[in-house]
Amino acid sequence: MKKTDYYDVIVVGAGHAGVEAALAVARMNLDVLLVTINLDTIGLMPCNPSIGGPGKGHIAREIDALGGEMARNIDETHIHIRWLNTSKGPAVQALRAQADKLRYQSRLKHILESNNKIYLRQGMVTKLITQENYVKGIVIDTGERFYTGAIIATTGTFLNGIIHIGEKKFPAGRLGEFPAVGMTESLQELGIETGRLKTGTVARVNSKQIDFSRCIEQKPSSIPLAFSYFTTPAPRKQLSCWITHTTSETHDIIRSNFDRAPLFSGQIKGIGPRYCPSIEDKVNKFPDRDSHQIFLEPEGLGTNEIYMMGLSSSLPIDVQKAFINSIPGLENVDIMRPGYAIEYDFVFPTQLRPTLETKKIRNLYLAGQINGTSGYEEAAGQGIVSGVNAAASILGLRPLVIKRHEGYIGVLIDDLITKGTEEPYRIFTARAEYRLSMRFDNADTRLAMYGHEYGLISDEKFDFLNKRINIINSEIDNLEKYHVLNDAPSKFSAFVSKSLRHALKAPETTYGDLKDLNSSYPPVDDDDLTSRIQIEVKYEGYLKRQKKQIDEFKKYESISLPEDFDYDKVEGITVEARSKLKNIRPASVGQASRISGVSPADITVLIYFLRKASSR
Amino acid sequence: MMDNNYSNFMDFGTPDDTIAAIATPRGSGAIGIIRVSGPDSTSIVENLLVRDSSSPFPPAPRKMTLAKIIDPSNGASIDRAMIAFFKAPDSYTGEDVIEIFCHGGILITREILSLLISAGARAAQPGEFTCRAFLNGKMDLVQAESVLDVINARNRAFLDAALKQLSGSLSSRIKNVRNNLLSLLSIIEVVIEYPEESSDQVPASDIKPVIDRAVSDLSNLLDRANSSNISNNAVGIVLIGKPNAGKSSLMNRILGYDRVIVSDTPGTTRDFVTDWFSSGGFDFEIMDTAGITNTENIVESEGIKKSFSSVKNSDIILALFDGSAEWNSDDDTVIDAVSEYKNVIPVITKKDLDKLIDTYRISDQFSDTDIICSSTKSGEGLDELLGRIACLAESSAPCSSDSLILNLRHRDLITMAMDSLCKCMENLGSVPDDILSIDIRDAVDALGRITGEDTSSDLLNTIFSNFCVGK
Repeated sequence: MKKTDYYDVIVVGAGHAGVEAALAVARMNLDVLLVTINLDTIGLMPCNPSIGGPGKGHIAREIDALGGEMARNIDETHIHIRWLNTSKGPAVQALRAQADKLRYQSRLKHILESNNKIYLRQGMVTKLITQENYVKGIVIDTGERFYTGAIIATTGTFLNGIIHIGEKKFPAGRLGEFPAVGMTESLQELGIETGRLKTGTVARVNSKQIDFSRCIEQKPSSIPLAFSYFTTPAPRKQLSCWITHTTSETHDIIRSNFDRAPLFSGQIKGIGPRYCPSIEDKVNKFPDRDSHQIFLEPEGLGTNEIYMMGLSSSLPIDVQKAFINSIPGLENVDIMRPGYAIEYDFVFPTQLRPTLETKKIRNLYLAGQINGTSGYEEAAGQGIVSGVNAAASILGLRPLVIKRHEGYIGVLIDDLITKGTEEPYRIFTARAEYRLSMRFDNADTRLAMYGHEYGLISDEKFDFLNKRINIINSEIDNLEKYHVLNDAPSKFSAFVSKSLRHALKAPETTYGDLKDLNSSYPPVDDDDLTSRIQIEVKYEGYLKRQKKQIDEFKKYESISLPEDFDYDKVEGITVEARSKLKNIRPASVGQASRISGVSPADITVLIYFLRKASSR
Repeated sequence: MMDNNYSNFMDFGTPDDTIAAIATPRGSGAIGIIRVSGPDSTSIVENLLVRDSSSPFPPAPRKMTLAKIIDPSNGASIDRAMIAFFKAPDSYTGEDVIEIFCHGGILITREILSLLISAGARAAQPGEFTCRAFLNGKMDLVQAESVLDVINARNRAFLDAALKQLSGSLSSRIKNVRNNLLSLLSIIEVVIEYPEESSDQVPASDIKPVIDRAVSDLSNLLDRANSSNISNNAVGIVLIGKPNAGKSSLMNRILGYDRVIVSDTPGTTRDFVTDWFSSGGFDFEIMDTAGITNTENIVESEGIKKSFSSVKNSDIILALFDGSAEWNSDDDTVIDAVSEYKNVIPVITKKDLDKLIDTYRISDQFSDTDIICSSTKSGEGLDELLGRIACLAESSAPCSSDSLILNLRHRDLITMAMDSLCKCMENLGSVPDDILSIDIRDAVDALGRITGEDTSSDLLNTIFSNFCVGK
């Protein structure tokens, strides 16, 4: 039993960001209070019941390497998993899994409940208590006060959320849930600036009413797979997904109801994501297309609900019903839950430090949709970083800042705090400069040392990862010691007397071929390791090139800029650069160089003044 | 939003690449210095040298040694120069530095810099030497302060010039190539980012023509840049006037030797003659043109057309009127051809002969400009003319000495883009899309650094505007 009303850290919100944040704090041995509006919706997937894909899957893997929960949770609760982009190269391959939505939530809730350092509490935060720009605590809707050393706000779409379904609009955090009222105003009173974004989701239908014979089946992988380094893949019950298409009739129905779309009528003011357009948006923007692909995704083993990817809409419910019924296979379905759009408050993320702490209020951290992002993985990635940093701040440890070359989480946070965002921000692999070096397979070499440093990964697990990394490295050297023999199959004759490593570099050679090239070579018997060995050898030239670029990049990242740096004293930089620098207060010269409006000449001047200041 | 463009000119270089630049101001000093800094500076410079086999290379630090500089591709001799080697960390930048003291003037320094770049150096950014010196902790504070003032001033001029230059056709051509590559990249990327919607790799047959086209466009661009290199940096002067107005004589007089055959027969100059000279710290490219007259002769009229177009492209126009002849309709045509330009110097020639021309016809047209009366025989008016040319050059000069490097930088980046595209072509069909995309993206990055655009956001914008994707 908790004897006081003081917690080391308070996390507000128990979505994907809040859960990872709370677990990180608890795993660093601090007490954490996790407050949520509804204890039954911890770790809820309000949109796709799915984790992974290119970029997002990479983040889930990075969270695992840092010692987070997302990868392990989807491994334990998925009902469909497969590799994506296997033919498109090592950098962009990633797993994607469908979750059993309810089990995903309940497992997460149980993990939280079972942790001795975590205290769960249902309640709505109405006010932040601060003192001289330090957070001190929260007030919740019952009037209770809780005190703390740090607050992590992960409010999702709840801040003054308003749902739109056709002409109808009403306050809600998500469909069927209360919005959070009071928190935005509390943040604004502290001088934090907020904006408004929009996102949305699709209607759900009942699988028993779907004619799957009119759809194309997409089977899961027949080989067991896992997101986490620490999961041993095992066979489990899986379900198929299904593919169907919209028709010209669908588009006609939508088009003839444009005047009733809140998106076009001006009823919705927040900016929605371009990469995740609603179906009315797609029909409007691409009038020449007479068909769009629709994925039917099961939401769990214990439910008939089907998520229809590609049909997100905030059209009136009768229009939604009509256009859904015009799609092959869906002629006879009823709507179980309507699709809707939701507008919510977010905080302009350029007000954050790389640690996700606000610059205005010490020990106030923000993670997830409140920072303008979208997606469970994006939220969870910020969640674990904010959790580690809140705890590190209290424990007096150095902050965790993942750099752009170390992980997608780093790219995501750096983009947000340096450039801000005008639409809900989603990760894409194309956002990363060093994509080939930040693969799904090597998140451990990139990030596990941080997980271990902060105690999120035990010594035992860290050893386990390192042993595997050592095998990869020593095996690459080993390939140099064996040579292709004369009796190798004729298609490899060009490589005779060359090393196996040389032979493996050729596009047509696979690791599996090597035993035929030299029968005395003892191959490694672990598909995961051999595929990593193969990538490192085959793309060595590109990896080396990228390493050079990364070294260049690091040089400027490593020159730090004090937050109280007096830019007014720097003569010779442009007015625009000065005002941007004063506003964003970059943590490093590298970050400063990515601010639009800051020129190379400005950077030169800045470096000079920094040197001068540090030598005094 | 000029400053947005600035930010993309940045390229600090890697710690292990080697940079080169002309360190002396543009113009016609007796000696030009080219500075090379970075770990490969000795091996890069060595490529260009023919040395006495007994002398070691690199030479002893901080000692001047004589060397013959050649073009390694054909062995052609370029210059005899003095070489000084500064070993890391005892150098300006703290890296291995070689300074080449060659004969001054635009042609030789530029040639040597080009050769260094072909040998593996990269054209330095403005302030990059100083920047490296800062980063390596080499800068004495007092010294740094003064250097910084210079760099700062120069950077502005440099970048302004870069933008000015880019507003023209170079920029639109590069943007065009870049946009084609961006579209290609977006086709590859959309398949990568949205595997659920499009599962196949982009076929090589879709990629090849786009890359081929881009490579050929870029190589055309380079060819054109090569042929117009000098004029890009020298101030262009064009001589225009009716036949026998004394254009060729004046040009010879300015150059100081008989470059052009002078004849009393009008229309002698049909093929334009171009030459270079330096005056008042500027380099000039001077061009003689065909005399303006109403003619039936096809060859001649072609020449006259060219005369008109060269007027349009030049920095300074010398409009010549024969002082010893009556005003005629050809003179009116000359007046018409130059009337819309500000950078015109009217010159009445043949002052040594009897004056027959009505001066007021010219002064009417050029009311706010003094007319120069000159005689190539006596040399009268020549100093005044050169003074006026220098004044105009000052106001029309593209920028400071750095503009030279700027062009080389563009060339450098275009070459980088072509190299990346060639690498992509080599690998086409044998590597997966994400590897192919690295080289295409490098090419887009390089071109974007010329035009000042950001690859990542442009790429996503292209994807979202061209493809209907997303849940």
